[in-house]
Amino acid sequence: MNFGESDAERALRAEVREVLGTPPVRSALDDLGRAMASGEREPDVRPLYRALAAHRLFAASWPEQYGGRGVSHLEAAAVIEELVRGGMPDMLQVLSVQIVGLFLLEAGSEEQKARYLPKLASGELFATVLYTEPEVGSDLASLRATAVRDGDGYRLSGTKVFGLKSGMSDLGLCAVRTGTGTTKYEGISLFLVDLHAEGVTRGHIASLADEQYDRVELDRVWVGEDALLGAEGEGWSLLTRCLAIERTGLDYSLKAARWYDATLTGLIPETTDDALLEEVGRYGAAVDAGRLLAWSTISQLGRGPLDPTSAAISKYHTSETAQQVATWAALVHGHGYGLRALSPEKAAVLEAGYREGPGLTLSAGTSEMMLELVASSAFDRPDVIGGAGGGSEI
Amino acid sequence: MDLRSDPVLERIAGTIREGLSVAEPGPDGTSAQAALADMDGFAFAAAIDLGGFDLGLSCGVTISLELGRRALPDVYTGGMLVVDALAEAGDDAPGADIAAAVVAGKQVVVAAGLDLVCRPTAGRARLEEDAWRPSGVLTVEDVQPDQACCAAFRTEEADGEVLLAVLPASVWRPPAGRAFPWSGPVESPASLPLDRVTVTSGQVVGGLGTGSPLSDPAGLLARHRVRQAGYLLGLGLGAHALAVTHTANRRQFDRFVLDNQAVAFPLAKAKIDLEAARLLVYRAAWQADAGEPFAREAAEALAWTAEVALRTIRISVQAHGARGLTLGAPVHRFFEVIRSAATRLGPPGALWQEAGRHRLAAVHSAAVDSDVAVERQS
Repeated sequence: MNFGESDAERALRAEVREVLGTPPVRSALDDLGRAMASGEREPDVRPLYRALAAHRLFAASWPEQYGGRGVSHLEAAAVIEELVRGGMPDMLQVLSVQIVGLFLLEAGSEEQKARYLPKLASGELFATVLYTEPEVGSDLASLRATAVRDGDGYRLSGTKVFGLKSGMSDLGLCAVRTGTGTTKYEGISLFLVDLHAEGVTRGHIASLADEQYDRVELDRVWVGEDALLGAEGEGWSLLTRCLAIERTGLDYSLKAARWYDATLTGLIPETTDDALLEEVGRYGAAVDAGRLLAWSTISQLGRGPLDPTSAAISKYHTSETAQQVATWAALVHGHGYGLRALSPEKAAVLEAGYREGPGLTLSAGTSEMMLELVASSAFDRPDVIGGAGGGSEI
Repeated sequence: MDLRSDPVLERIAGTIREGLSVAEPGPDGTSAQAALADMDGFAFAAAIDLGGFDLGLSCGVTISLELGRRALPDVYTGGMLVVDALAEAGDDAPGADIAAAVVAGKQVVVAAGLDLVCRPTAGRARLEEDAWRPSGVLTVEDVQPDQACCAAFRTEEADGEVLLAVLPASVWRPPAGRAFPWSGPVESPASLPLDRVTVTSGQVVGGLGTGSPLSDPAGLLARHRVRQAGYLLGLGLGAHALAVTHTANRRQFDRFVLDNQAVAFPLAKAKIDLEAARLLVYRAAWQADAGEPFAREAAEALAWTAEVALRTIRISVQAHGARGLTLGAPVHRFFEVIRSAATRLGPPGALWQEAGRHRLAAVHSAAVDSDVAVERQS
């Protein structure tokens, strides 16, 4: 284990800080800040993303031929950390690059990669996921949306809910049923759907958090055969493999850190009592541990299949911690976040965090599912620390 | 950061685990000491000048973790505190002979008093005729008949420096008695009334600095905390593995006990907390080995593992049912050991406060730096 920063990570962080200060990026950040200050809940982040993409910082781990820099996943994580610390809202980047883009890299055909990845890396296109449906919830294999053969393509029909950012996205990674099998896990297929296509209707579901849930209706939406990801009917194994990629916990750990740091800015050392100091220490360690767990999971990326248990551990801890920190901040700073010395900007961050927090332990797999994953897969692994075999990992 | 498992440490852990497999469980650490000495385990993390291999604090953590994993008595960390204190001293320095004996595996040392000196109100030692006369009562873990005691005490001088003194068994055992209050069938730590002890300058091996929290200029306390966190982590891991094995094999209501979410989920949560603990502990050790500041990280690693290990062991005993409370079930031993191990260096609450102060000071220091930078720019 190496807890230090590599030279490459350090250099990338320095470069990101420099890029964040360049006029186009600064201007896009200022525009975002003004929009949020005026009460806009979900301002358009795409101009900022495009300004960053011009420096090939938006999908840094992707191969150069696809618009990335070919840096390691760890170095790309350093880039993302620095961008988020610099004020970049990350949700659409996470969806477009870290989830759909990585999914394409893992499971897409060469043609699909060449067609979509450069555009996703440059910010010409954005992508989101269309997984769950009304009444389906976390039991994704119960999905009902269908894809029916039509000539040399398919017609997709169904309703997808609880996704995010479909209004700003051009592509949807969509899970549908193309057939049935002996179990519900068979017959699921994955398609890349053009969200501007005829038959696609995008709307919002009024939600607690600033980022509103989406409702996407698919009414006989035609896609070509080349929109199919992987083999027809074998989408479930792809999904389970790629769902782990969503669970590195990096994004949640960054939220936890942002809300924790904001909370501390409103505390005055001289007047902070011992009970509160104890909480400052305890939550600080939990936030740090979340970052370490995320980096521990990311350390595995690119070196064979990602261990789903490691990802579940990271996802559980980071999302639970972020949610707890947001709740703690509300208690510490009191009614209207005005009990202590918090600035209006930080109060706004924490207020939004409180409303966002509950969604974190539901998205990308609920906390209960993560515990189920850990319990069902980790305990009997002899090579995992704490496993029944005694554990050898240090 | 690249947090993949370290193959060298893995090999060391495997070697130590195999070597310790012959140690007899129970409160007497004589066989654990012998097993560790047989593989030169006491020398692994000790400085080369003292006859060690200088493999670093990460290695020391691994050794204490493996002792904890089997709930063996802690025959290791106290000796390493003395070794750290004397790492820079010459062969003729006071205590150098004891450090050499520790590294050779011939002398067990148990640290005591570190829970007391972290409290500013603890009793102080008077200097009388070139010797210190401490006050108060130390609780000493009794793990081996010939063990020495590395006692921490605060002096009554204005700055209240905390000193470490090594008291051989011949000095500390005669005045010691059974600790009070303590009841029940499990072994009792020894209670050492310090007013019956005189500490000579030749017994003082180092200091932990002044103030509260202690300034710890040489990082001795922080290093000791990290090793103690490793021991606690081992206790948690060991109990957890026992609970998983038991519940995965025991059938109740026509199914395995582990198939019940009410049993599996607390164990899964414990595993997540233990994994977080592993990273916090090894981060602190890594920073120490890299020469980076690690005082706050050490305090947090210890507080986190103390709380997590306590919780995990309680859950693990519960998962065993009534048989977990019998002396025939190994998990009972973890429940006994964790009670004193969790607070040997002070209660977690005090450690969290210390860490909280560090964190808050860092945030406000950064804010001041930022303000200064903005002023300069304008």
